[in-house]
Amino acid sequence: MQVALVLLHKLQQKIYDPDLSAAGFGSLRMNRTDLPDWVQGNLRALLDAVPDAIVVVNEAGKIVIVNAQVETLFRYTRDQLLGAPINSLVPERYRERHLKHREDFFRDPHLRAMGMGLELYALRSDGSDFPVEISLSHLATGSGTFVISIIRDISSRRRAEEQFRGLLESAPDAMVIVDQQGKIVLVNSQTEKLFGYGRNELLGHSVEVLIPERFHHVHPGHRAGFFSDPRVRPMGVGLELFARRKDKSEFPVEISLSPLQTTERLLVTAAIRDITDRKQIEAEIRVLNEELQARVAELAASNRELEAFSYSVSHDLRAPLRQIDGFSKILLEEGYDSLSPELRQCIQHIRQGTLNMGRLVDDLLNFSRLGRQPLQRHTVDMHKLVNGLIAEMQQEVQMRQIQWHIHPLSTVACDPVLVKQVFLNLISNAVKFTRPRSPAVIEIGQDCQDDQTVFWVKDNGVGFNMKYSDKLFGVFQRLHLQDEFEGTGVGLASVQRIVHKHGGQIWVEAEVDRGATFFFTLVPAGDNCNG
Amino acid sequence: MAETIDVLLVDDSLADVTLTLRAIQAEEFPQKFKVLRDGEEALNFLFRQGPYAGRNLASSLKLVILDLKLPKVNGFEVLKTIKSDPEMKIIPVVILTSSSQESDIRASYELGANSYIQKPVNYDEFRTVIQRIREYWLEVNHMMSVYK
Repeated sequence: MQVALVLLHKLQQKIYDPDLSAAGFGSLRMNRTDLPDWVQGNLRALLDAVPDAIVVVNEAGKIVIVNAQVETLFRYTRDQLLGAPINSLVPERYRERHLKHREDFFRDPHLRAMGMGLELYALRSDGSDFPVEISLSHLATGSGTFVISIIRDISSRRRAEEQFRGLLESAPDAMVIVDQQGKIVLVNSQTEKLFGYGRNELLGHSVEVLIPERFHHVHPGHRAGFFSDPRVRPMGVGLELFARRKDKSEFPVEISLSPLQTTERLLVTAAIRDITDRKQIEAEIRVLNEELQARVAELAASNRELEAFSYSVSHDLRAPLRQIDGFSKILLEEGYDSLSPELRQCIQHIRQGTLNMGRLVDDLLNFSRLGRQPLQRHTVDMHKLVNGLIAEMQQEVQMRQIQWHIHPLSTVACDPVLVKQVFLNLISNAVKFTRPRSPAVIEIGQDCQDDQTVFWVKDNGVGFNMKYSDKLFGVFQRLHLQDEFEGTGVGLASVQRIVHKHGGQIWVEAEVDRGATFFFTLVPAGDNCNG
Repeated sequence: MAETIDVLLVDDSLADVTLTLRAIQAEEFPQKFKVLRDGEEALNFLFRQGPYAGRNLASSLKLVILDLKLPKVNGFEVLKTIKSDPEMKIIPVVILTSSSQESDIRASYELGANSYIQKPVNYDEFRTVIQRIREYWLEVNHMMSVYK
């Protein structure tokens, strides 16, 4: 643009014939010998090469010079434009205003941008209009003053601005754009809603109006800090931020800042979110958490009491048990000859009763102790564990014919003491309930089901009816008669407790007379079978 | 007349005492037993106090078998008193109790118990344990006299 103006000024000096009204640029009469050759030949080409439209108008408002860009932009040919009133390029609604501007300009002509602060539009030949930016200059010649206007089509820029504005408006948070001095440059409607101001009440004002007074003295410092190192970040990390509405009420906020670079200057965009709701929810959560802690403590205390109770009860039962066992034994031994077979049998029943009671007490003690111990996971080679167990059991089972099938078992993270108990229980059960079988077949292995390692213990024993399967794991629940198969009904309850403690599951598949298979996992779902 | 007491048995349960003595007599063992039913009596006897003041003791006490749960003065108190006395502390004290609680075991050893035995529930096992105590502490173990 500068180049064109310089050239036109140069032209001014060379123009002798001021009669330009009848001719387009091509018929400009001037003393060619006064123009440098290259200018002569290339002036028009130069002007045509300028990307903006150049329109030169005389005092009467008629167009005297146009460049090629004018033709493209306004969709006229040069001939249609030369001599036409400049008004034809101005949308009707602005013509009156434009006339006034022209008169003002001629009175006081100097280079300036036209219509500062106004939205300017230009009119095409087809009646459509488009937004423009115009800079003006004047040309004083012997035959009058001419106005040179350089016109730029800013439709795309306007569109971009619209998009930006649209983005700002559609943002769910209040967006406030502020300059380095702290003046508000732009706000969106969310800001108006949140703070209770109309945007015109905010634009141009200091951003401190939106901040409670007690922070006014620190805020400029924070702003300066931001501008010295402008990057996207949340504001006041770790601080509790507050904003102030028009009615002076305050509310807690979360603010994120990002620098906004325009052609002229650096601004900061603040996205402000009202977090009153969130603070409330956080407070509620805190309260709930406290209650939860209290409840957990109560529960833990209650559990401890229960365990202490069952422990001391089972413990204190031992002494009388021992005494019953002892004296009944003495009776049997020393009074054997003087007792009838029936009476001896009575004593045997006493002894059997104490034996059962003793086992029950032991199992109960064990069961109550389970809850107290925290789970300690170690890497356990299950194969070794199971084989070790069976070796320990050899004495018990030496009279029996048992076929053991131990499949490869992987290494798992679990509590070795507790898991040993699980296997001990399950295997003992298998041994017990296969007593009528010859040979007894006990199989132990693992599968991968749904990404989980599932261990199983299978026997060909007496089995049971699946309709009772949910009773199986209840404390003291039994499905068989004591004299058929002894037991306390606590074993499987303990096993289930241990498995659940590990976060796993236990279940069973069985059929009467065909045996049972117990399945269990030792981690919550989705451990991706290893091994 | 000097009493030759070899073993002091302190247990509040008559039934347990009977079972214990039977278990030991079953092998006809020559040692002499003194049975006391509470901690206060046990201490009075050992330290020749109260009703036992001036008692004439032959220096033959070889062992104290002590239950923990005792009326008046409990087993721990008795143990502590014995083991903090410069002269009495040399006498072996075997804790014989129903408790298998770790805290009881720890406390007993910390107070200086020489042994801790849990009374089995099953009578056959109980018998075997009592006999083994007798065998070890009264035949294998060497004890010097407490009283001068």
